[in-house]
Amino acid sequence: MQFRPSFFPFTEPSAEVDVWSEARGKWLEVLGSGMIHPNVLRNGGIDPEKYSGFAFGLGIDRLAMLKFGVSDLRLLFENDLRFLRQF
Amino acid sequence: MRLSLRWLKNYLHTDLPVAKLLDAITACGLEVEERIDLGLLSGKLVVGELLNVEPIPGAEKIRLTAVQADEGQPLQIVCGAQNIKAGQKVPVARFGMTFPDGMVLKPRKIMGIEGQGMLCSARELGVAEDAEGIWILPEDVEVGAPYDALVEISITPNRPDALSIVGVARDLAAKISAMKGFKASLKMPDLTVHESSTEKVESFARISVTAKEDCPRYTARVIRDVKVGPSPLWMQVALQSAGLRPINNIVDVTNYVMLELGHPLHAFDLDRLAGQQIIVRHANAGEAMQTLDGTELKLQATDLVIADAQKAVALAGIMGGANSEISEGTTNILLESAYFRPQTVRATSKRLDKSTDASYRFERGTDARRLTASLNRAAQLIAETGGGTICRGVLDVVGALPEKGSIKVRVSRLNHILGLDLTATNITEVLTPLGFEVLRSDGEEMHVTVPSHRVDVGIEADIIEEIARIVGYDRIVEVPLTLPSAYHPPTRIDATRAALADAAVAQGLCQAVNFSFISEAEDALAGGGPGELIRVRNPITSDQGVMRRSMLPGLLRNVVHNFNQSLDEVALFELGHTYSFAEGADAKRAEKDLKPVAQETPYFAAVLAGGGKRNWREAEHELDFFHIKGLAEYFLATLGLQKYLTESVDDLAWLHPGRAARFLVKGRTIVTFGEVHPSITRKLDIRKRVCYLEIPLEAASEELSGEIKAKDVPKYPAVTRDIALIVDRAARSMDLERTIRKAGKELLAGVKLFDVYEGDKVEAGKKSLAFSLTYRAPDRTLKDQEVIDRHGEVVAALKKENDAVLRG
Repeated sequence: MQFRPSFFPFTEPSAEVDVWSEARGKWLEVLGSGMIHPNVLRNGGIDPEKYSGFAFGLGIDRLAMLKFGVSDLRLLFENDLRFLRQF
Repeated sequence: MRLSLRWLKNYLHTDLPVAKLLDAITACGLEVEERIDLGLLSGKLVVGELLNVEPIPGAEKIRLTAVQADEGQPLQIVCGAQNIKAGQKVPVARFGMTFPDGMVLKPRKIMGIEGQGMLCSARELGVAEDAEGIWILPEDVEVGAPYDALVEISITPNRPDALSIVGVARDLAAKISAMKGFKASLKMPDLTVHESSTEKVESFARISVTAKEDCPRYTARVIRDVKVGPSPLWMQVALQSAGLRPINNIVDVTNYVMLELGHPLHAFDLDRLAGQQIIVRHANAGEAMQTLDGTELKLQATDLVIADAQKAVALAGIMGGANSEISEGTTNILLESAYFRPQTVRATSKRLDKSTDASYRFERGTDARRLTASLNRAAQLIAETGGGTICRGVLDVVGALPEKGSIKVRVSRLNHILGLDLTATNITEVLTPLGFEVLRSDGEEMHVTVPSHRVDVGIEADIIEEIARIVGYDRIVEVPLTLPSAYHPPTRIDATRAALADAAVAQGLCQAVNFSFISEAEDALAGGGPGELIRVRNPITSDQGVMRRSMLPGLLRNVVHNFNQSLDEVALFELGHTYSFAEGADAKRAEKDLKPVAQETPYFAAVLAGGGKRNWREAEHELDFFHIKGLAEYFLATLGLQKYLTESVDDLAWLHPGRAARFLVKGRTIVTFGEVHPSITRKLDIRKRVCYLEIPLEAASEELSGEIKAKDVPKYPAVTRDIALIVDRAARSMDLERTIRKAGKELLAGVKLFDVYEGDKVEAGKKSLAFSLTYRAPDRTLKDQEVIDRHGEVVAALKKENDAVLRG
């Protein structure tokens, strides 16, 4: 697993998290994360001076694609019975 | 952005090996996405010098070359390209070189000659798609050395400053300096300008800015007596490496400097500017102009243009106009380096669907305070490559520039957020190479000014991120997180969802997942929905412009899709939400000019459509109202709901009247089901019945019964009586059933409709319904007379209440 600096408007600092895929021989992006942006806390009525928070956003469709070897993201939303019946 | 490591090395002096350099780029937050190896990564491609090019007897198109590619004997290479001659430097692929298309170079014979490598074209190397012939390299490259590596880096939208080679080099110099055991420094290009003309720029051009808010600063120089022609080879090759096509020496210089320093520039043919004048103004509504790619644009009053005394000559920050373009005959040039408000450029670029390398940078935010650096660099390069003389002075119209920020950073706060243990000195060491300046520091409180190229940095958290980015996320120690854990049992809605999903799967339905965004047409077709429609302010595509008020549109789309794939039968369910603004105005919010609060409502929905012949034992069937009713009953049984009222539905325009119903518990709808109105299916070109069912999960979960309480089985026998009734054709069996239950009272244990008949054996306009009635008492065996009496009362009640007569 590796953390990489990245950018999301709602976290600061932000990090992208990759996992190493032995099968593919490369890093795979699996989630975006970071420390919650002070403005987000403030808008939610939480004092960013007192509190800080972690944010993680896992793309479950991406993980499903990796797990089941789905070739195209669109297959997950087309609702084609020939695809759905495989599960 | 495609980055040439060879070009990068002009500005980044470092001892870090190439392989680690790529990791360092990614570790800066500038993600390396793809790489094109031109020898630097594999060593399989080197620079060669053509010593000799001679024809091969008997071959017309191919020639034999001798190439010096290392210290040994010259290589013999056969080549079919026509643009080569002795003395040129060329890329030479050695055996084992892998090309972008996956081809690996292996020895082979051409015309009986075994070559010792391959001369490469820019196209074969993946550098330029439309380049012809062998890629000729600049004269000054070193023979025998690997040539280059090109890396495609993905720059996040907050970092326009990294959209240049110097920008990347600056980040890397800071990053590498923070790594143990390596050194790096940034070497800026020479920005001095030699004003070779004695004449002042004011004698040749004037600038005025009327749209001051959208163009806070406009600078320009004039270069006279240039000669337009091809740019020098080194510049052409550099542009190709970055993925740009060389055009002419003037345009190439503006592109070169944009890639180098990050600021887009534009060159006008000064003699084609009416009045020798530049006016930065808003377009007149409906004003027409032709950009240099040949498209005719119609502008709006919010668009910003660069104009001369008569007409628009460029779409500010996006593209120049055809009417002032540099051509072969151009001799005098006005060179522009300006700052345009990002929002203005973005709005016009988006509306006209015109995105260029320039607009891409301007809309993210350029460095408003370093305009003349780029201007001078480009002017000097134009003078060097196109001849010409640079006039004295810079035309410069300045308004209110973006504020230069200063940020307070607390060392303790930084260490707390990052889990590091840095001192103010450490922090200063990281920030300085990035261009930040520490004004003062007492060891805890630091005051830092932000360099004008960093438009993304405004608060303390941004500085904290800079430190994390450069120090490295890998230097942050992992600490196990201790949190109180608690078991949260599933909510009633969760439990209802799970039960319904299991039940649907058991019935052979597949789970569909649809987007919550649909088109307005889909919403309208499905009959709108309860509440006011929520429109998406900035939809991804126009067919995702509104939020669904019903689950029906998505499932209808799935039915269409599957029927189009020639499937006979579709059975799907979906768990999701519908969205709308609450009905009725919210006075408090209306006062503040706000919409009522948006609400999301959880639903379970299912669709059945089609049919056919499933196997040899079953007859051909088409799924219809009775199938969806059966499914609805089954779902309610799954939820443990046994007592409910049935009501026919004729108040919903999207359901087929007479073929739709709802089940209610305590007056609340638990499920609505029926056949979708044929006017809807017809518009979707569906030729079969589509049955739909929806369960509002909030209501269903509240009525969800708890545990099952078992009853004893009846001890005494039951008596069954059948009756056939002639009724009006429009009569509803549920009304008859209600009468039967009422009159049968406590002795009636069950009633079931077992036959419906319409035809020539009954009077026209009438039908026959046959019910089977079960009588039973819990505490004794019923006597014949008891049953006869009670059954008689039932028949009488049916006659009185429902005008039903016994079929003779």
